Amino acid sequence: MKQKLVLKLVLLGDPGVGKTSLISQFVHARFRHSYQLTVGLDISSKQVQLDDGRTVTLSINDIGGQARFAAIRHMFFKGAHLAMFVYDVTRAETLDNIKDPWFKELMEFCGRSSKTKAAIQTILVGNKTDLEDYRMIEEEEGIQLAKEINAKGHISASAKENIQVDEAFKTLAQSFFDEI
Amino acid sequence: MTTVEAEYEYLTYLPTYFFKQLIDKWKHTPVELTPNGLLSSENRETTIELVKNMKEARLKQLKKLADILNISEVWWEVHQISKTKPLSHLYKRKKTFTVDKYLPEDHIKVKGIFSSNEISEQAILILIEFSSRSKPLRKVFRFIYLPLIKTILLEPNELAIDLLKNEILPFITKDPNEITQKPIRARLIRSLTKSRDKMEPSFVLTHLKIKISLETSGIEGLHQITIHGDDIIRGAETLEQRHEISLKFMNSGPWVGAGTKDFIIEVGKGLQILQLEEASLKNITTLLSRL
Repeated sequence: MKQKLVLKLVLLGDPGVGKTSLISQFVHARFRHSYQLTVGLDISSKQVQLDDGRTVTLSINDIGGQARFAAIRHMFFKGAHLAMFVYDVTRAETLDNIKDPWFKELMEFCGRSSKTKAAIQTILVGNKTDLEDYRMIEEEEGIQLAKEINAKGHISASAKENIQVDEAFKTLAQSFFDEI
Repeated sequence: MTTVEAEYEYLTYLPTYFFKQLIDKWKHTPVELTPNGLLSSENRETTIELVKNMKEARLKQLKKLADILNISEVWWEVHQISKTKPLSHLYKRKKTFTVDKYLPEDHIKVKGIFSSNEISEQAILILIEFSSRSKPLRKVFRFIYLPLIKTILLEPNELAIDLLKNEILPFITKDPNEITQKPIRARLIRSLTKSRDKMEPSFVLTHLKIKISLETSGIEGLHQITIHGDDIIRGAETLEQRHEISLKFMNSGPWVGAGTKDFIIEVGKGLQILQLEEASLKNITTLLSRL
């Protein structure tokens, strides 16, 4: 029997940037208009077929963005193959925080420690692009940061309008195979 | 306010530069006034002296102009023109002429007077004034043309847009079809706090409106936070340092409204000009060039 490949993915970003909404749209194809705080961790999974025909199962770990979860967060990073950094295009600070603390924290626990260990693959997602009038961050700023943190790419998405959500998850999953 | 102050209050709305031009035209003598407003402490005495000695007809004209230029409550729509005619070309043209306009909704033809007036080196005020004996009409339509940044401001109104397209654009642009409305967006408000380069003046914000609704930040129970002060960015920083409190709401958002002593901008509303003075218009020109 062919072995099923499961990739562990963690979503990181400030509170309220839409991490849970992106997962909800990707996994269940629905958007929740009310806000629910993620307490610690929520795990969901979805099978994804990549462009090359390969099928993988993503185990998606939604980590609470609040500072009070900072002490326990790193426990969920263990064994992660993929990380999606999420910021909110309508809140400038959420992009600044990607570099520190989110990227810094992830690298502390999942950075490449030896030549044999593959570094975790990352992608940067700017969410809430449907709120064009309220956008405070230009796409170029996101692209620039993605380069700085060596992410596989930058994607502008809207969980509410289901724009580029599947692409974000699939691009990230594909990047795992590009690396090996 | 004393009776004397109230009597001259209308002069608050007249830009100094514009008033100087009028005095020069009427009295043929240049007058020294600083560009800080006619009733500013430096200009007050000279202004009142000049107004006191004015003929009744001119005084009436002055009051009418002040009424037209009372713009502090107006939310302007911003339109960008791609190809403008050189200013020298505009100055050569007749500054006042009549405009005949058929109003389909009212089924009447009205006569209007088109006039262009320099209110500063940065801005030209275009007025189209209609009068009709048979139907009540809004009398004056105001447009502010900022030639340096190829931008025109108008009071949002269906007829104003029609007048812009058919009467004003042929006057100021080479291609009347090349015009686009520029909405005020949150990124412009963010850009107010940082200069693009060292040559640009930085803006001192006197108010800031932060939207923190469910739609944007997932917050229930609060819609927006508005803060006021002489310099709110500096104020917020000082408050955080001095009292060691967290003002994280400053980083939430988006920022949907901001203001200085010269203007207010708001997403979905447009631009509100608070003063038509030279320095204010320069700041507004800098701001709108970022759109």
